[in-house]
Amino acid sequence: MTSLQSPAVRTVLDRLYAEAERNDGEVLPRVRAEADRLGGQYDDRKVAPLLDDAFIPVCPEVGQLLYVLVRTQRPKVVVEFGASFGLSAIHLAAALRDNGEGRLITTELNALKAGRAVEHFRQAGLADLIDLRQGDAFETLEGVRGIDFLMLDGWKSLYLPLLRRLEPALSPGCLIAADDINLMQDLLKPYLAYVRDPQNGYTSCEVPIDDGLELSLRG
Amino acid sequence: MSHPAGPILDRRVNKVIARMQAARNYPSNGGPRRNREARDPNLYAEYGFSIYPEQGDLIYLLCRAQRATRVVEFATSLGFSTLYFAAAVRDNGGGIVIGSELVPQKVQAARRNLADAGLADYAEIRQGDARETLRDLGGPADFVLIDGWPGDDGPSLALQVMRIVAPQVRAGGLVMNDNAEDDYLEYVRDPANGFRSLSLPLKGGTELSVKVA
Repeated sequence: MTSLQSPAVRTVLDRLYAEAERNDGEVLPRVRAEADRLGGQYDDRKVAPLLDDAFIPVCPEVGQLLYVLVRTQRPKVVVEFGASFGLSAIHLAAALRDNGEGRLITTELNALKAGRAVEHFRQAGLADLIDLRQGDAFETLEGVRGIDFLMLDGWKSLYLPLLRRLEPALSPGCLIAADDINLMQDLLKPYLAYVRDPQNGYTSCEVPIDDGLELSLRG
Repeated sequence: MSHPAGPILDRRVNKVIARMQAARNYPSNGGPRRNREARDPNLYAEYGFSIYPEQGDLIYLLCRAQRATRVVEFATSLGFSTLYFAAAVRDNGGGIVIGSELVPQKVQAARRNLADAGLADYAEIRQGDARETLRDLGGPADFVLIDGWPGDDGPSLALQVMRIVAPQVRAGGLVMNDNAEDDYLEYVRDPANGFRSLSLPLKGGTELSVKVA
C-alpha cells in the first residue's frame, strides 16, 4: 500500500477536497467578479485579499502526477512555492515517504493558511518530512541548496523571478513543475517563454492536465 | 499537424520526427480496430499507428527526469516512439531502448529511421512476438511503453505484455499505455498489482503508472 492510500492521508485529503469544493464554490465567483470589476486581466495579486479565503487546491489528477513524478525521480530536496492548505505538499511528501528518502521545504505567505497546512501535515502523519516556512519565499528559501524538484504553485507573476533567484540552488536534472499555466496566461507568458528557450538551460513540455502543468528539466 | 517546439533539442532527431509526423496516415479501411477480419499486422506494414508528439515529448522529459538507461517499448512499429526514448537515454549519458516488433518490414523501417536520427547505437529492436522477445530485458527497466494491437477474445495483448514486463520494472519505474484497453486499466489500477496510476488527457487517454513496490 502506498502512503497516498494510508488511512491517515486518505482521510485528510478526502476531507480537504470536500471542504475546498464547498468553500471555493462560494469564494471563487466573488474573486472573479472582483477581477472583472477591476477590469482587464485576472491577476491573482490584485484579488489577493479575497484569495486568502480560497483553498485553490491542486486538482486530484495533478496531485497524483506529483506523486508519480517524485516516485520516479527520487529527489532528495523538494521545494514548493505556495503551500496554501497543504494538499499538494501532502502528495509530494507521501511520495518521499514511499521513496524512503528526501524532504520537502514548502512556503506560504499567509500565516493562517500556513497554520492550517501544518495541522494537515500532522493529521496525515507526514509532518516529519515537511519543513513549512511561513513568509515571503524570496526570504524563507534563502540558503536552500541542492534542489532536485521544484513545485511552483504560488503567485503567478512570481514564478519567473523566483525561478531566477533559485537557479544557483537547482541541481543538474532538477525537475520544475509549474501549475495552472493556462489560468492566467498573460502573467505566465514570460515564465513559459523563459523555460521553453533552450538558451536558458531547460528542456520543457506542457502536460495538458487541469489548467495546464509545465514540466521543465534543468540541464 | 503542426507542433510547437518540444523538449528535444537535437535537430537531426527533430528532422526525422517532423518527417514521420508529416507522413502519418491511417488506412482507409479504418485499420485493425475496425476490422476483425483484417487484423494481421503484416497487412499494415506501412502504417505507424504511432503515439502523438505530445506523448513523445512527455516520454522524453520523464525519461530525462528519471535518468533512464533501460527503456522498453511494445510495439516499435516504424520507430516513432523509439526516437524519443533513444534521444532521452543518449542525452542521459547512454543506455538502451529495447523495442519489440512483429513485422519484418517495420523493423527495417525503424532501424532506418533511428540511423537517420543518429540514434542507431541506442536501440535494440527485437523482431518477433513481444510475449517472447520481452521475457528477458537484461535488467530492471526504468520506463515501458505499452502501445498494443487489437486482439479478438480473451485478455488484450497490452495486458499480456504488461504481465511479462511488470516484474522487470524497477521500483519507481514508469509504464505508459496508449490505447486504454479495459483489462489493462483494471490491472494497473488495482493496488494489489503494485502500481499507482492516473489517466492523462493526451491522445484521448494515456495511462501513466508508477511501480510502487
